[in-house]
Amino acid sequence: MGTGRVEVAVTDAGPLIHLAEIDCLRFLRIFDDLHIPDAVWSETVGQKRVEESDISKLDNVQRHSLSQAPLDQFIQDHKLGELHVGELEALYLCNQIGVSVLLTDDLAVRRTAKQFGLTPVGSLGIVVRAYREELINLEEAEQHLIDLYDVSTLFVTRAIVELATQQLHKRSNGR
Amino acid sequence: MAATLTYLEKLVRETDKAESEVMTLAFQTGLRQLWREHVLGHYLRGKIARDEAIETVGIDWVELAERQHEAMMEDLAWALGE
Repeated sequence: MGTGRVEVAVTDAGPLIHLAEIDCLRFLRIFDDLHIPDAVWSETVGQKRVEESDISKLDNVQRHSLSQAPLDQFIQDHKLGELHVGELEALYLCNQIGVSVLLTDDLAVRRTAKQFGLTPVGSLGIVVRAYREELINLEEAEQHLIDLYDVSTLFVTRAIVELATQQLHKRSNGR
Repeated sequence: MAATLTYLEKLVRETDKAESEVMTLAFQTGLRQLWREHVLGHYLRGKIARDEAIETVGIDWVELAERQHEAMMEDLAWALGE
């Protein structure tokens, strides 16, 4: 079932924070390279919401310092003023280095990412992918999904988590 | 449980409300949230119509639930390589 390491991604702060809160940051090892812009680093490690040592253990993280002028131009060109700075830098970085997967738990960012032709992926998707890559079993995946609702600060309704769990079981049985 | 007690103590202290009043508000708020999630769950499972869900919990919550559901399905499709 596992397919080894999968893709390259840029992340905003949400998945780093939410996965750290449920002690699942290690699942980000499913990516060959994980790109983190400096604003996202500041919002997570800089604000002690994620431990730097936990990020270092991933061994696939590349930090990026972005030039302000071209970033401002990007925001202006695409009328993105309503998003937060970390989200803006993450979108810009995807565009700059040609990465098509953006990790985010923000619904507005997901919508914008799709407008840019990117694939947005949330914490829920990363947990399920960790299951597919055989880092965890089905029961563990189910518990981690429940933890996203019960333990993490991710804003999601219980119904969504229950439906996700049902879908995961259904699709796993079909394999 | 420790966190809950901390919240209670802080709310009593910082809102100048009696502990019993804070407890009553917490009960009402919690029940309202449980009811909302129950209704949205029914809607997302197709057990009630969209109009009924909107009438019960409001359009904002229904639209949020729809967007979360769409995101969840996209995440599953990506994660399982479909």
